[in-house]
Amino acid sequence: MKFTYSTFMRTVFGAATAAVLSTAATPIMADSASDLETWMKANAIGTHAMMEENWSDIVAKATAEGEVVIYSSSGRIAKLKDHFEALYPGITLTLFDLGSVKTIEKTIREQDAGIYQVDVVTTGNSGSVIKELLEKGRIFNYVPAHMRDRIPAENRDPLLYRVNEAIVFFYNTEANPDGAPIKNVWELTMPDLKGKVGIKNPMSSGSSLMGLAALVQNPDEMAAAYKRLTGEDIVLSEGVPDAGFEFVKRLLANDVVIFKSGSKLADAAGKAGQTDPLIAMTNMTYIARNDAKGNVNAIMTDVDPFSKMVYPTYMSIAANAPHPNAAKVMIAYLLGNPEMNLDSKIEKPYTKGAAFDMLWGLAPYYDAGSVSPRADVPLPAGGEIWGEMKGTTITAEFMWKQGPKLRDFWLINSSN
Amino acid sequence: MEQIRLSGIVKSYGKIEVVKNLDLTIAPGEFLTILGPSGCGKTTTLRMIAGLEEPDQGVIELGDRVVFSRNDGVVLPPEVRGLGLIFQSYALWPHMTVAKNITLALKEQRLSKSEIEARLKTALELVQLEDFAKRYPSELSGGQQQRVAVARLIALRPSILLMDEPLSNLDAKLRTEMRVGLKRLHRDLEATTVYVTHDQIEALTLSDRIIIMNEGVIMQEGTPFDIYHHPANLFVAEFIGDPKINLFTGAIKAGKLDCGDLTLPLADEFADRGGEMIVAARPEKIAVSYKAKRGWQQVAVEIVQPTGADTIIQVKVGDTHLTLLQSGFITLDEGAPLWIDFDLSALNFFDPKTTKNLRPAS
Amino acid sequence: MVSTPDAGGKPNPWSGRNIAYQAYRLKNKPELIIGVMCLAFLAFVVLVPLFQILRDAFTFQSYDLSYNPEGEVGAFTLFHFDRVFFQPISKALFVKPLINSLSMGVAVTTIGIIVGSGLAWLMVRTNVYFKEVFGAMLVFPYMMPSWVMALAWLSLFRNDRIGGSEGVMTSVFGVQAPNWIAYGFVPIVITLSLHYYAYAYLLISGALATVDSELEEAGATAGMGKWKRIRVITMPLLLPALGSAVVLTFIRILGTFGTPALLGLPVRFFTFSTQIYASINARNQGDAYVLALVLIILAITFIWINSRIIGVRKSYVTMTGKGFRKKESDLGKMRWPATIFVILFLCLTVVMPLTLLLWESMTLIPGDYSWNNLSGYFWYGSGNVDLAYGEPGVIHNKGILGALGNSIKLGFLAALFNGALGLLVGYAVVRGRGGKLSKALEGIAFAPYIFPSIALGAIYIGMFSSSIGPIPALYGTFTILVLITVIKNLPFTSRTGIAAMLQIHQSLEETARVQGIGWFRRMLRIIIPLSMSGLVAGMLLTFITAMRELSLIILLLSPGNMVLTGVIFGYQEQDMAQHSAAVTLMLVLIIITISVIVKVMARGAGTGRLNTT
Repeated sequence: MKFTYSTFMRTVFGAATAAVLSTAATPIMADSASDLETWMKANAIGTHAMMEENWSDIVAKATAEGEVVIYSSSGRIAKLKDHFEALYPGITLTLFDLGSVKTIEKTIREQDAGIYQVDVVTTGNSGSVIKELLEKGRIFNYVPAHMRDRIPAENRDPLLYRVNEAIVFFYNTEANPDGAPIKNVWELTMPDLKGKVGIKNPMSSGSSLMGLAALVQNPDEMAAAYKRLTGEDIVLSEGVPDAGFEFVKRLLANDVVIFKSGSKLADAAGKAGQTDPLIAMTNMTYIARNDAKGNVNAIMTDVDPFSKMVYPTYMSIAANAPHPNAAKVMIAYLLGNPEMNLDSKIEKPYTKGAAFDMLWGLAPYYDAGSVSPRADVPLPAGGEIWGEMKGTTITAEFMWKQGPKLRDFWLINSSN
Repeated sequence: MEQIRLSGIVKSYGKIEVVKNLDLTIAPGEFLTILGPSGCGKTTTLRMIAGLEEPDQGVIELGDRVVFSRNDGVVLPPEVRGLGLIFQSYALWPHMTVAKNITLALKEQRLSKSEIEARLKTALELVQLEDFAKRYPSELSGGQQQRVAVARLIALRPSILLMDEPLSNLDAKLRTEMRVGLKRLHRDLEATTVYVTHDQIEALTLSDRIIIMNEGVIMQEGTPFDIYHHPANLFVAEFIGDPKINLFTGAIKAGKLDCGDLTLPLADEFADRGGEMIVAARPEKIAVSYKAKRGWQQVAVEIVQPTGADTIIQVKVGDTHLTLLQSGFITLDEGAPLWIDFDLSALNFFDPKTTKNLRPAS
Repeated sequence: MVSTPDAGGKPNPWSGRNIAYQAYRLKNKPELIIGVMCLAFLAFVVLVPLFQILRDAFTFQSYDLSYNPEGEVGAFTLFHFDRVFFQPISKALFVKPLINSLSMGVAVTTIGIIVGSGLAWLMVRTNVYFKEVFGAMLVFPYMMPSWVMALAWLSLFRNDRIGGSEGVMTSVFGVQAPNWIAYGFVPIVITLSLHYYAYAYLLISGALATVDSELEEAGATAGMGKWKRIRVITMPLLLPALGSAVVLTFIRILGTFGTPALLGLPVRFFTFSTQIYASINARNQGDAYVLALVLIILAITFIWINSRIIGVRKSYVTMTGKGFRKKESDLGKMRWPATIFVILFLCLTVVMPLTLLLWESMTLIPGDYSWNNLSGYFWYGSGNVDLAYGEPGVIHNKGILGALGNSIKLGFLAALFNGALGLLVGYAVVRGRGGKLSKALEGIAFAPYIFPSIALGAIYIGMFSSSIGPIPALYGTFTILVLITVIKNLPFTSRTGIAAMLQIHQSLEETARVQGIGWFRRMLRIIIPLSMSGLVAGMLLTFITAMRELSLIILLLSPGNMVLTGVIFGYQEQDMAQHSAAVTLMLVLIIITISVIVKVMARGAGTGRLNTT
């Protein structure tokens, strides 16, 4: 066929028309009856939450609603789709996996613009979630009545956790056959370890920032740990407010290596065959990469003052959620099967078979270093040390008040 | 065949007035040339007739249609004015064959396929490019391209033709050939034609009437004969005529014009004027003798330029230089003496202050 | 009948007649109507985001409560400006990153222009071998996400600073690459140059293809040597294309994020873009918008300088109706060396990264590049729980295939609308040149380029969340993805549109008008075919950019509208390296395939004597 100019133009226009016609998607319209009070009342959420619930009634309503929309900071929730939809036939799971910052941003923007298309919002970033979402009424705390007792108050007030994770210290067991090379965080700031410590960029990673902030939020413990290590009181540099910030300053001055990716950091520290590998300050769940990638990392369980810096990921129901009952069902699902208890035997692989039926929404997150808010869930294999490690949890107050200052501090001190 | 009429046309670009209050009527079927140096406003005028530029004031009528009237708010676009225009650059579409170039506009007019084919054939035959239909403009010589531009007009058959220096990009020999072709086009189409050029030979050979423009103003309007023999002012006198006309400034003394090195006859009516006068004499109207004759003035040869059929002879006397034109192929030595005489009836007299011809054509 | 003028000569401006006259004038000048419509549309989609950025830069944000707990959110404040420019943090937040970004920009632009022009000249003007193949392949590096080149660099030169597996250089030569080669300014500049030279290459080869070599031959006749001819004749004619290339490249570099982050962080080489991105990520709108404003002002200044040097008024007409010849220079003895040079170049920029991607997509255990670790699982495996969380291989993966369809649709529609819009803008600007409308339109068409993609995306949520007049709320639709992509890429197509229109002498259109051919037909049969090479270049680049785009649309994606880049992003976040590599490779191959098809089709279309790229 001869490609004349007119043929070309006709093809182009034909294809364009076809493409345009096929994308005539109807936009998602804002809920016209957006009276928040009415919604809360109708669905027993927020100020109208009730102590007792008729769960089967809720499930029935959820099935009628037919869909649950989640904004999540983590993509692993996608693993739940088939299982959830099989467990609750008739409810479709629609997931937006955006990362923590964009989840918050999108929620705020949409709520302010009167667009209500999300049901469940699950993300970390304590300061923003509590101060901007919860306290501003953009999301609501929801704890299924039948699970209340199993969750310690600090894990559900003011907002329910989905999981707790922590930043910990990895070391390479091959290069350190005698065990952890350090016992005190301040050793990371000493000349021996110059350029030998790696951290994920706290300027672009909420979890890394929170991990660091958890240390900084305990200046007294930090000062005491310093004294225990050196025998002297710490002398603060000019303009530095306390020992917590001083730690950050010295860490940077000691040429800490900044990574873009936490998993790559873990791999860099844990790769076998190195003579002088890095110490990684990274997410505890990456210890699982020992199996997947052949890393030889181990977690330091005895670091003064803290071995684990804990940060939560929350879950909540969005204001004016279009499918509130499905949202409730989802949250309960994410907490795991109520039949699970401390004696339950849960075997790998977690996202298949019997294990999945026990763990439910916890399954993709059932790793060492990722802990359910429930008190009655057994710790996963390899993660039992969680309880043994002395830790500190980042508070929303500190993140909100001091987070920006910590970022600025990092910025000034990391700039050459 | 339609009349073209411009009334009170004014056009400025920013602060510069390019056309100043122009009134012009072109009779149906007439071949009018607008002649003038670059920047005189001739191309602008042509484009205003075509509708490619808008006057600031005035009225333009084509036939009995008003195509532009500032006061009545009429501005017809070029697409509907129904005229033909040849550009100086021919404006052939480089991505189309010769045939396509000629017939594209015909398709717009919804002519039948057979009619279009017929017109194409005729047009190509008339410009003698029958075998070139499938060629592209880049494969044609300058002259052939120009002929395609002409063929376009032949096919379109407009009743008004506009031509913007269509020959200026051709070499001299081609130019002479194509001149004839254009005149023939004008006749075959029986179209009112407005021709714009800076080349006086084209103007003189092609036109029924010429207007000479300078700086936006019409210097003279008339037949080629009138313009040539009775230039209305100094500008026209100097502009027309190749080689250039001879000008003499002299004081009126005793019924003659004393120009220093030469003395020229004076028309009787000027004898009583005092002061100075400018006289113009065409080179071919100055009589030349190789032998001394009574009453004739002697000059010396400077440069001799035989052009084939004629010879241009630059001569000088004292500080005055003049140009003579004689027929035939002549050779002369530098410094050789000649004797010249002026024919009063062929002289033109100009007022030094107004530069106007004191004996204009009637 | 014609009426006599009113006393005094000029008519009353508000009389009915005069209004009728002005209406007629407008009707006869399609460039005015188009210009006004485009201007109105663009003013809306450009000025509103700009206004929002300005407003938010001067407004107290909730993030700022940490600095000033008593502050009132929403109140007017100069706090952000004070902080970014005057407080101690300014050096780290603003000054050093700015210096880094500017020096990066200058270096990459210079190298990119030189490489791009050199290659363009080789392809268009010499008789180097395999021109057809090369011409197509030389754009491939641009089709890959820019970080692929950075990853390849790291694989080669990674040293023990970041530990982990060895770089190839270390394992082959046993020597650690020094830090300044492995990270920071040098590798960033090299990898970005090898990516963004494509702008210069496309623009200049498009322009070179339509410069009549008669113009150069005139110089030869005048006794100018080859280099002098190039300097004195060809280069000034290429000035619009060169100028556009410089502006586009430089500004794009200023805003590029991925590669500087990957290669710069280990040695703390921060750029302006990393700082903006970090601020937005921390939801510190104050810092982010002030920095964005600085970028915008920088960009505007740069564009202004550039337009003073080139201008639209000067004539760059090279395509008149009068005959047109293109001549190739004979390279003589250098023919094979030049060909080999291009082959090597392509190996470096195309073959090597693609091979790396392929290999990586087939490694069972990531980082282990040994032969027995290869597997095709990630391509056609159907899902194994132990591996990569059970995600199926590419062929069986519904999510991936759906996203593929969306990406292609997005790219195609954006390219088409962008091409049309770019042409209209080019038409209005060039035909109306010198006028205020023309200048305003040219400026505003370029404006979207200077917005950081992230900021634009965030603002568009706000802008289009409710209906505007007759336009329904576009948020959540596919339309808004197309819209924002079109806007973001309009600068390029408007420049190519203007450049293409500049090369068409207006007599070609005027003769059509006089012959009675209406505006639409003129566009269709004359303007579009003659500007085809420029248009296609612009549209193709839009297509490629749209398919690779992520930061612009990430906030606007909705359920059925996931695109490939979003899928890759997800895989990267979950560190599923093999899937990420596989889908990236697939994305690149698809872009390449479609580009080749388009080129072949456009070649065969009746642009005849003009198209050689």
